[in-house]
Amino acid sequence: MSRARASRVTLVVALLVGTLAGSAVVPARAEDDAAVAARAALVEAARGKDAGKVAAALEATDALVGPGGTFPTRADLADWLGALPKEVAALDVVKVRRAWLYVAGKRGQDAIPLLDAALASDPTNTLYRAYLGEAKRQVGDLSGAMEAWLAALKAGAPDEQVLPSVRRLVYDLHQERARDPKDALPRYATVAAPLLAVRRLPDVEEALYDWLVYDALAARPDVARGTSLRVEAVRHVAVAATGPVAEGDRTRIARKALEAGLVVRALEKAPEGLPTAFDLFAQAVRLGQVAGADGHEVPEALTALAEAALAKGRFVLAGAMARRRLAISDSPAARGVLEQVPADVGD
Amino acid sequence: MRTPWFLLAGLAVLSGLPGAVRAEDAPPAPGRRVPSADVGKPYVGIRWERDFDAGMRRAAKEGRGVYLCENGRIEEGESGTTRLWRAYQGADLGAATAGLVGFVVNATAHGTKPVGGEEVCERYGCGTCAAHRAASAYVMARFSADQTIVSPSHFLLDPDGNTVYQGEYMQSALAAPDLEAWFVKLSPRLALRSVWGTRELRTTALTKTESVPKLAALATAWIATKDPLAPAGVVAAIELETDDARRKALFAALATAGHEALPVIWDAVDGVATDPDVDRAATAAWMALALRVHGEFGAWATARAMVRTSDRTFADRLGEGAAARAEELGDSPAQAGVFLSLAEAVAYDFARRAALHADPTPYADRIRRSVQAKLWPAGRARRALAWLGEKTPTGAPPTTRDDLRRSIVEPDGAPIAPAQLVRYLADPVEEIRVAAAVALRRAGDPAGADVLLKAMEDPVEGPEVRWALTKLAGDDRGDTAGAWEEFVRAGGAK
Repeated sequence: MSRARASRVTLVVALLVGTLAGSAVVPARAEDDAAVAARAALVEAARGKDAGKVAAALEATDALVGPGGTFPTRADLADWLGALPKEVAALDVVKVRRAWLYVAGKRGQDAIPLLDAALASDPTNTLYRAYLGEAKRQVGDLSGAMEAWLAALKAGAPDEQVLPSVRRLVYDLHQERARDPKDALPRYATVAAPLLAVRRLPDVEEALYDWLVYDALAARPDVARGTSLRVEAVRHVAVAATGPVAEGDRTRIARKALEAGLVVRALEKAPEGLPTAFDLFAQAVRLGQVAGADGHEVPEALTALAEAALAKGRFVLAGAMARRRLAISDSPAARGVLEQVPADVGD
Repeated sequence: MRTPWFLLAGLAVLSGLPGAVRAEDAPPAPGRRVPSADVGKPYVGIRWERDFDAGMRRAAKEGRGVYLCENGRIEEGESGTTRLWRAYQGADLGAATAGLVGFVVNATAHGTKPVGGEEVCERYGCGTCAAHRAASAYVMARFSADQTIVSPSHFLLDPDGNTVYQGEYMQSALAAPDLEAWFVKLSPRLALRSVWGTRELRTTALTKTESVPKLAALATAWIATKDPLAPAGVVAAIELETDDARRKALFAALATAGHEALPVIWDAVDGVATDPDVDRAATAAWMALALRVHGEFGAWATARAMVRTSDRTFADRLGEGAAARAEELGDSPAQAGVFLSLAEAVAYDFARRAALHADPTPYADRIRRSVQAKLWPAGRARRALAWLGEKTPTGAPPTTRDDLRRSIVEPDGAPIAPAQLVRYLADPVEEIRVAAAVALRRAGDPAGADVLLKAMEDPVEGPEVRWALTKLAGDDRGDTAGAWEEFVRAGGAK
């Protein structure tokens, strides 16, 4: 290729790159009449130092956002607010508004400096911390996000400020789990651990259990990985099964606790800190209990607990559970337990 | 030319040769005509469930076994279909599985056809595709280690979901007598109810035969046929019989059934062992039968009756019967099991009467040996030895949660100090808190009253707390916290 031809190709490529790069930058949008009016209202309110009017004027700008509107996205509105005269843009209320607009517009990177500044002057503001967590989630700083949410909760943030974002993070990571390394637990199962250690989220814990059990099945024939995923699943369902459980969820969770107990029972050596099969079966028995009746929604759990109690030498409990099981229907396993219970024990 | 996988499978099945067809080997060929059930004829084969979850729940609640028949990979071709028909759709199989919950296991969806007012899977003529696909997911999750499975395979679960049988290839499909035998083992109560219908001629003959010798001969002959339902039929007849001589004849016949009779006599034997004084003659008869049928079970029940009867002479008579049976069993694990149960009953009686009516040494020796022979868990032996006044200290501080709990409720040496017990009331583990509260109350200290009252209402901890308090109070005040509150909070000696 001649030098002249090479130069032409270089020029064309450079022009093309320049064009593409230019198109990637959203050009500042010319203000329309509505924006001009909004700007005037904000400036007037700021000059009048009337907080109520500023808030109202900010609120009114929301109407300018939307497809075909002055600002296609909330982030565009945030950009515009930041470009307003200093007397408006420098107001804390405007900065915080912009931060929220960036978060809502999925441009967390632009929200972070605004929120850091806001928190420097108001460190106990739980809402700012919750926004900061969401902004960090958007930029992929997952540990930073979790840290911010934890700080928000510790500062007394109500659940609705924080937990929807946590749920979103976990569910998003589950969607992306194909990208996770295969020699470690999936990120969806671990990312929220610091928060789950201090705040009980039974719906998230149950979802984690379901997903991990599914992934354990899909991991076959890799026994070690399957076991590792199941063990992690057990930890999550144990939390879901402990503490208050909504009436309509009891039987479902009881069945999962029973399944988890069977997983633990099958382990040759349970990892340190893993809930015991006995405890999981006990929770299954509690949750499967029919209020005000002798029946049970998960009779198999009674048998499993009877067997676990027998292994622990808790003969009275073993006998009681086996007899409750047999009061419901035939169970060769429950009969087997009773035959191992000392003669003096029981009714 | 490559031979189609289904043809190979069909040939292998028909020739009886092993021919594993694995789920991932090849997908079913698309568009092939699938032979389907002749829905014009009444369906008489194994009833396949319409809903998997509902079927599994029903099995547990009604005490039924679950029969899972995986055959998804011999889906196509006339030979495979014919084989399926033979394996699952005979009238004898339909009758033999009436007491089970049956699932055909197949991951493929088929068309549907209306039969008797409901839509059924056209492939099987019974049940639904949703159910057999859900059953397939269950079987793959539970029985496949590598996401493949030999097809066909067969699995039988007990009412609690434990696997009691599994086999591969078509020859693993259970025949009607096998299915009936499993039905009796897994669901003896249902067997006792259904035998009047399924063996109407036999059971009617037992009830209508007037001559006692003839009745004994009929019952014995029926049992000798090895009909799996024969022991159930004889027990059902015993339950209706009021004449002593006829009952005795039926008991004698039943004794010839051996272990096969155990499931169907279990409830009756347990019932009289639990309340032995209601009808001591009946108790003695059932205990003798139980010892004949299954020595160790009979001895367990006899020991139970011995510690519950208020008549010491009767208890001794029961014990002599068990000892005589043990001698007949000769030197065997069964004999050791019988003697061990007797030793436990004697040890308990020794403790209860607080007076030596026999030298406990041989019993203690037997109990100690049981641990070495692994006939009993150490905890059970320790308990029996304690009745004989023998402590078996482990000599080591508790290292596990179970050890700690035992050291609280059954201290090997000196009881744990109350101050330490009070600290255990705040333990994160509930069973430790409850054990500490029980130990405190035994010591006359009401500090654990709140723990005890909360535990009383708990389905897990409640039964043991009630049992411990009943022993302490000398009477059972019920299963509510309110009934025990005064006693629990009072403290002091009973």
